[in-house]
Amino acid sequence: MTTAPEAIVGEYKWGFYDPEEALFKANKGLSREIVNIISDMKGEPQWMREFRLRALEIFWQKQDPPWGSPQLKEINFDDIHYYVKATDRDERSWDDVPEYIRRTFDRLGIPEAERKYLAGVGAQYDSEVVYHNIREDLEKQGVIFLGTDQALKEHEDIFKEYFGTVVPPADNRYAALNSAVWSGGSFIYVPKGVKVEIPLQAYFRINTQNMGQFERTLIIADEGSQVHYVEGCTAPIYRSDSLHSAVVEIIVKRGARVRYTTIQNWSNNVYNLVTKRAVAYQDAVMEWVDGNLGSKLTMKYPSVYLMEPGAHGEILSLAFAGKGQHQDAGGKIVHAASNTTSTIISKSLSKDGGRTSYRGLLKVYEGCENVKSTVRCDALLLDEESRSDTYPTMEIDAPDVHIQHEAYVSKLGEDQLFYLMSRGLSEEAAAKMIVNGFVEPIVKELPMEYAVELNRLIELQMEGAVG
Amino acid sequence: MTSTTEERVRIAAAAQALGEQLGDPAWLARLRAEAAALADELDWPDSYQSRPWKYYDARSIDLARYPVEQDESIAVEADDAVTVTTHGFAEGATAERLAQRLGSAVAAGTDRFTALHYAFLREAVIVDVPANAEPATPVRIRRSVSGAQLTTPHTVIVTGPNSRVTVVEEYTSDEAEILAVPVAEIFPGPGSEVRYYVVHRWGPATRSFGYQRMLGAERDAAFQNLQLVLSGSVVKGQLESSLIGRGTASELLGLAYGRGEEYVDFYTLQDHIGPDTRSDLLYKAALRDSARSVYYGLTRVGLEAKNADANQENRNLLLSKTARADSDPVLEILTSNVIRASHGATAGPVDEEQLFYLQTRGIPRPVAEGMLVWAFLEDVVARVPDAGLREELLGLLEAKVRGS
Repeated sequence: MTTAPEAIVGEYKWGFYDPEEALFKANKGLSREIVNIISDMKGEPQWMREFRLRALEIFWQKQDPPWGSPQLKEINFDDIHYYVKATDRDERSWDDVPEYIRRTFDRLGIPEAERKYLAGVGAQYDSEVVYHNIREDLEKQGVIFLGTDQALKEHEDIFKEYFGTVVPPADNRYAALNSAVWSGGSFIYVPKGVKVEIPLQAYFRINTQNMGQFERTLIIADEGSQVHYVEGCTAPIYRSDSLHSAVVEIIVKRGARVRYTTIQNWSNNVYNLVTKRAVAYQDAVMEWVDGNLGSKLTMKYPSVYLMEPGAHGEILSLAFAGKGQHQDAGGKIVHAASNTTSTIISKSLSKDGGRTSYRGLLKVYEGCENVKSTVRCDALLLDEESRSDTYPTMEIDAPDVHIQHEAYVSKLGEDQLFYLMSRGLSEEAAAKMIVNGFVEPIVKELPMEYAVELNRLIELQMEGAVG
Repeated sequence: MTSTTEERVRIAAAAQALGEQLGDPAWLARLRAEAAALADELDWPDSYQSRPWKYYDARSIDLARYPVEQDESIAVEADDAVTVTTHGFAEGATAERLAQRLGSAVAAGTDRFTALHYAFLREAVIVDVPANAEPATPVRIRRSVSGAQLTTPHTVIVTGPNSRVTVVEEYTSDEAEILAVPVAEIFPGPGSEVRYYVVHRWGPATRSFGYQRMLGAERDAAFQNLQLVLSGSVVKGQLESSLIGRGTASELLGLAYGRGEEYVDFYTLQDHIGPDTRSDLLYKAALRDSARSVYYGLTRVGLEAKNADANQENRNLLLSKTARADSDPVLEILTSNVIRASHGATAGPVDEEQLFYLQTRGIPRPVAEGMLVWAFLEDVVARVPDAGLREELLGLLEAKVRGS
C-alpha cells in the first residue's frame, strides 16, 4: 500500500508528511462500488447508503457553476483516493492513537492546546476521525462532541432528524460529492440552556497524496445554548493536488448562539471547495469567522439563513492570496423573516500575483419587514501583479429594509509607508504594521491563541513582501 | 434552444429582402448577411450562463410577433456646426465613413439581440462633429415608433479633436407590442467632450434591449451619459465605456422611476484599459407598485491601467411592498497601481429620520415623502451641467412622478 509520495520541502512549516501507513486505501476513482465500500466499512444503516448513492447520481448530473474558477476544470476526479482509513478507531486518549499519527498532531501542537485552553478536541487524519475528547463536566451536562461517523452510530435519531436538511445534496456539485463519499467531521449537540464557554476544536489533516477529504460537520445548538467551534487544517505539499470538499450544517435554535471559526491553512496544492451553511431561528445569533490563508483554490461562502424574527447573522471573512493562490471567499445572508439583522465584513489581501475574490449574496425575501444589513469589503493589494475582485450580489424583494454595501480596493499606501519609515521602521516592518492594522477587525474576534497564530501566518505570507 | 428551421429561413430571407429593398451597398449587404447568420446560430442569452441576463429570461420572446416592416419617424435638430445624417445607406462620402464605424464598437456577434439589430438595420443617425467645433445648441434626435414591430434604431457619434457636443436622444412608441433593439456607438476624438443623454419614453407594451459602447481610444476624451427611464414595459440596457486612451474619462448616469409592472435592468462596464483613466457611475431607481430594478455593473481595472480612478454607486428607493431591487456592483482589479476603486450600493425606503425631521417643521408626511423622493431623483439630473437641459429633463421626470 505504501507509495513514496513526492513531497516538496519548502517554507510551508506544516509541509512534512508521514509515510503512508493506511489500513485501507480505496482505489482511485469514483463509482457506486467505492460508495458501497465506504458504507460497508462504516457499517452504516441502509438509509445512509441510499442517501450516498442518490447523491452520487446528483454529482454526476451537476455541472460546475459558470462563474466558478477555470481551475476547477483541472480537477481529475478519476485520480483521487476518495477514502483512506489510517486507523479503525476513534480514540478518547492520545495514548491510544497510533504513534505516527500522534506525532503529527504533536508537531501541530494540538494535544498541548487541548490541555491549555480547549473544552474539547477532535482530530481527523485523512478520511477518519482518530481522536475526539470533551471535558467531563460538559459531557455530564449532555453536550455531545463526537466524530460524525460515531455520532451516526450512537445518536441515530437526532442525527437523522437534521442531517442533510441545511445543505441538501442537490445544493451544488461539491455538496453532492461530499454527500456521496463523506467521512469524518464533527458532530456537536448542545442541550437547551447549556453554555460552552471555551472553544471546541477540530483539526483536519490530509496526509495521503492525491487524497480527497470529505468531512461532514453537523452542529445543533438547542434553545438558549451557546458554543464556539474552531477548526484548523494543514496538509503536506505534494507535487500533485488534493481535494478537500467539506459540508458543514449548523442549526441555531431559538435564543442560541454559535460561532464557527476557521483558520484554513492548507498547503498550496489543495483545492478547497466547501459548503457551509447555518439556519438561525428566533433571536438566535450565528457568526462565521472565516480565515483563508492556504490552499491553491478556495471556493467557500459561509451562509446564514435568518428564518425567524430577531435572528442575527454575522460573517467576518479574511483572505490572503499569495503566489499561485486564488481565494474565492465571501459570505451569504438570506433574510427570510422580519426584524432580522446581519453584517458582513470582508478583508482581502493579495500578494505576488495572488488573487482574492469576495463573492457574496444578500437576499431579502418578500414580506420581510424591518431588515437591516451592512456589507463592507476592503481589499489591499500588496504589489502590481496581484488581483482583487468584488462580486457582492444583492437581491431585495421587500421595501422596509436598510441595506448598505461598500467596497474599497487600495494599494499599500506609499504615504503610510513613508510616515512609518520616517519614524525609524524598516520598510518591511512598516508594511507588516499596515497589514496588521488592516486585518485587525477580524483578528480581534479570535480567541487570543488563534489571533497570535493568525498574525504569525500573515507574517509568514508577508516575508519578502517589500523590496 | 436554437432557432427553429422555420425561424431560420424567415430571418435569413427577411434580412436579405430588406437589404435589397433598401439598396444596400456591398459592405452593408455583407454585414447584414453575417448578422442574419449569427441571429440564426445564437440562442437567446441564457439566464444561468450569462450574468447580465440573470433576472430576465429572453426565451419568452417570440420573434414571430414582431414584423420587420417598420413605421418609425426620426426628427433631427442640430446646429450648423454639426453634420447629422440620417441614412438609408446610399453610396457617398458619409456612407464610406459610416462603413468604417458601423458595428465596430458594438459588434453584431455580441448576442442574439445585436445580431438581429444588424440583420434588420434600416437606417443610422450619424452625428459628425468637426475638430474644435462647439455647437451652441444640443443635437436632438427624436425617434417615434408605432405599430407592432421589431425596431432597430442606430446612432453613431464621432467627434473631432477638442470638440464639444451634447446629444439628446428621445425614444417614444405607441401602445402596440414593440421589440426595440437600439444601438449607440460613440467615438470621441482626442481632447473632445461628448455628452449623450437618452430619454426612454416607450409605450406600455414596448420591450427595449439597448446596447451602447463608448470606444475611448483617443487621449483625454470625456464622456458623460444619462439614461433617463420614464416608461416602457421592459427597458434593459447594456452599456460599456472602454477607457483606452490615456486620461480618458467616463461618467455613466442612470435614473429610473418605475411604476406598475415596469422592469428596468442595466448592465454597465467601466473598462479601464489605458493609464490615468477615470470613471464614475451613479445609477438610481425609485420604485412604486410592483416595479422592479436590476443593476449589474462591472468595474474592471486592467494590468496597464495605471493610476485608474473608478467609482460606482447604485441606490434604490423602495416605495411599495411589492417593489424590488437587485444590485450587483462588481469590481475586478488586476493591478494595485490604482488611485481608487470603490463602489457602494443601498436599498431601502425613504429615511424615517428625515421624514420625522420634515414633519417637525410642519410638513405633512405625504408631502415630506414626496420631497425626499424628489431630492433622491434630482441628485442624478443635477450632474447635467447645462442648466436649460437640466430643467427640461427635470420637467419630464416631474410629469412622470406626478402621474403616479
